Amino acid sequence: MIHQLLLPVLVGYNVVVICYFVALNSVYLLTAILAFRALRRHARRLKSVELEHMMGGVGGLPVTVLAPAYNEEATCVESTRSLLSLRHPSYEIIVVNDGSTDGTLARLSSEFELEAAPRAPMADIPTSQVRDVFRSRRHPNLWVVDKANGGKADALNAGLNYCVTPLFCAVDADSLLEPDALTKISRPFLEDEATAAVGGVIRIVNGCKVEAGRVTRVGLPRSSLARLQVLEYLRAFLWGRVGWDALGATLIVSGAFGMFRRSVVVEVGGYATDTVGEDMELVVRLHRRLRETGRRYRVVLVPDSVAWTECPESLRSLGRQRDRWQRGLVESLVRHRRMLLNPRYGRIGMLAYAYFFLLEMCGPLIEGVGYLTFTTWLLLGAASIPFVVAFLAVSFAFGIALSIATVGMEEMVFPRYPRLRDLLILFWLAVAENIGYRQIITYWRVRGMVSKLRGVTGWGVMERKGFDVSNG
Amino acid sequence: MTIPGVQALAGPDQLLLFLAALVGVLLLMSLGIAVFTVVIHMLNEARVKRWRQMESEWERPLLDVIDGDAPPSSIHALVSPRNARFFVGFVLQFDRLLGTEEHQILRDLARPYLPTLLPDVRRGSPERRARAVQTLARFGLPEYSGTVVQALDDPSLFVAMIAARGLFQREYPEHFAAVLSRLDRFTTWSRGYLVRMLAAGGGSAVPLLRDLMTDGDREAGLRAAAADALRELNDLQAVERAADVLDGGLQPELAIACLRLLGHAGHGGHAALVRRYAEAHEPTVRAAALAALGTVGNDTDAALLREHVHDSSPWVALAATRALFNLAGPPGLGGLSGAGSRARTLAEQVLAEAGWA
Repeated sequence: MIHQLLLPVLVGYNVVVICYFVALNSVYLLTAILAFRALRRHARRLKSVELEHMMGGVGGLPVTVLAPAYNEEATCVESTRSLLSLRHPSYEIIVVNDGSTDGTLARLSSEFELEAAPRAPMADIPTSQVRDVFRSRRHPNLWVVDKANGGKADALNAGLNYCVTPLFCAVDADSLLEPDALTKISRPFLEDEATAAVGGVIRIVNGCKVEAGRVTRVGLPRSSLARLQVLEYLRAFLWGRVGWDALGATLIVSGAFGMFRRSVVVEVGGYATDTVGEDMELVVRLHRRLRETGRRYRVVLVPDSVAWTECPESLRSLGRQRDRWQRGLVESLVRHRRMLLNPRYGRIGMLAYAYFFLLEMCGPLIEGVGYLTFTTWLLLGAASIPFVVAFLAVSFAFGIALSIATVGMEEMVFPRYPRLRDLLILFWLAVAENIGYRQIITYWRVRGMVSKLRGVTGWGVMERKGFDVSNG
Repeated sequence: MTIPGVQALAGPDQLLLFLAALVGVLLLMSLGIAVFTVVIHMLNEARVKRWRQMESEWERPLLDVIDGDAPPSSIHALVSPRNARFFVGFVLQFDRLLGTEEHQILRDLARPYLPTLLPDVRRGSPERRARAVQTLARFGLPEYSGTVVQALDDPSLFVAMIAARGLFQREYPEHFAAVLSRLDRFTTWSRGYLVRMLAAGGGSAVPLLRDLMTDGDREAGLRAAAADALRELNDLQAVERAADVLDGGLQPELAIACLRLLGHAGHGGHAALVRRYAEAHEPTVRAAALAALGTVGNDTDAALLREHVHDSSPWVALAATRALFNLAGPPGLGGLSGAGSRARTLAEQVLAEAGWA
């Protein structure tokens, strides 16, 4: 009886899962091919003209780096040092202490000899109260804005209010930018005045050696969980985002490292403070407003402009992070749902938004329920074991092929891992991640959707280990 | 028994066979890519090793040539024809680090190998063309000027810009007209970049830049870039022509550039003209006009500037505060200490900028 009742439901759902699987992997394949072409072209371009020569001789574009910090005592000094050592002709740093309850401000103050300095805000985006503005005696281009706690978006808005350069670069307080990262990421602004936002690439710093705020030796972390994230980030950035960028449909600029035209962001009201996905929400809103007003603009990605960031090494932290990312995704996409498959928004609405809405947002739910229906089907004894195995094998083999191709692309275009051993580990991880890791990520993403439905807000706690700082 | 959803799409046996074949293909492909990646990794390592070896072989003799301790032929003997391009790239790296005096020596060192780059200018990817054009512009002018000038019309805007940058140098005034006549190709580029490029032409570029600034048929953004370049070149004579341009009523970007030029080198005679723009609707124009009044204005402008310290635009308010300081020094900001908190902060900020705080 139960068997007969469940049969049509399971049949229908199987078709949904297969369609989802085919659609998702087709998009992955398409973006991978596009990413491969785009990365090769970008690498050729890098080899062709020395960017610093091209820009340095005529003066780079002035930039303000905005680094919000909340309880970043462990990493704030190293991160700020890294920002101070960037090679860019003209830049200013504004660290925004977002009401930290630990020693963040005290550490910054003693390390960089901060003193109160008058500075008037140049925009009036509403934020929590700014208590004081400090300037470093040792580094005149380093400013610290101390404000009451209001969250990351609020801190970015406070920094934005004090920004006076045409461009600003938003980074996480624990991000380490490569010395030429600002110069590289600002190149699209140089080549086209219509550029509104540019994303960089995020790589994982766990396992790397850091000296004086710079990554001096790239290596894989010891923790398996962190290693799996290395592969995940490579995949997400090198073919996910690069592929979408090749389609002219960049919908995400990471909050850990992205550059924006200040006037455009101020014009749209700055970062939204009522979402945990403020980075994606801002870019979606920029697309929406600029399309609605009929302005020519560009949002692009620069794949060789790199920021290094610490990733969670415990399941609990990682779970919280993914829960938050999924909530942020849902919030951004639901808020701007009128863009979904709306021709008015061009390829953003018809392609990128549709992909993120249908496959990235709803995907974990489809996938999660798929695992359940497969299990039910097996328990009912109605499934053909060879078919189930074959279907799962195709799914895994496809994932393995794409992950290995990503490592290959990395080695061809921007080789970073000097040891062959690291490459071999990454190949092994491409296989291993299919057993357990992908499923648990799906679970956290489903949990994120449930958290959103339950009205959960906030960021949760992120434990910082601090960087592997060499004594040498 | 099979999965019905799958069964609906194809016969069970064929489908199973297809899936098994697909898995096989994907796994073989993965293995192939993995092996290919390892080979690439080893080739990359070998290439880096070879480059390092060549660099270490060339570095000492190159420094000896630069110091005048050895003739150029001593290093040429070490460069095999197949490494010619790499050698030119190596010399180019040094050229970026060293000064003008050494540039001539490096040019002479690279010159024998430049013909190997000529085929690259006409074929290959835009990136390859750009690289060749950049190198020829750096080491090959005036001999290869025809090739570089031709690159101004390259279908790739990137290559054309590299050529323009290479040609618009104070040493080669004969190419300025060619670059300026094609400047309309670069209207999408950053204004700041264009300004610096034009300013790199130095004094010889000034007459052409003045003409560009006043040419009503050219795009306003380019005229504004010319005005900003003239300001960077400190061209006092351009001020009167900027005043004439400003008198005509303009697009905001050109008005701002002309106001900046007047603010940089104008005089009291321009004050009346500048005041006309002080009440412009566009805040950026208003700010530029008030900033200029700080230079060309007089005591009677203080009241206007004080009024604008409370302007709704913070940029205008900052410009007005700075202008007040320029006009009357620290006492000019005295009255602001008791004003609203923004005006007070602005006054303190301007004093701190000037080293008075």
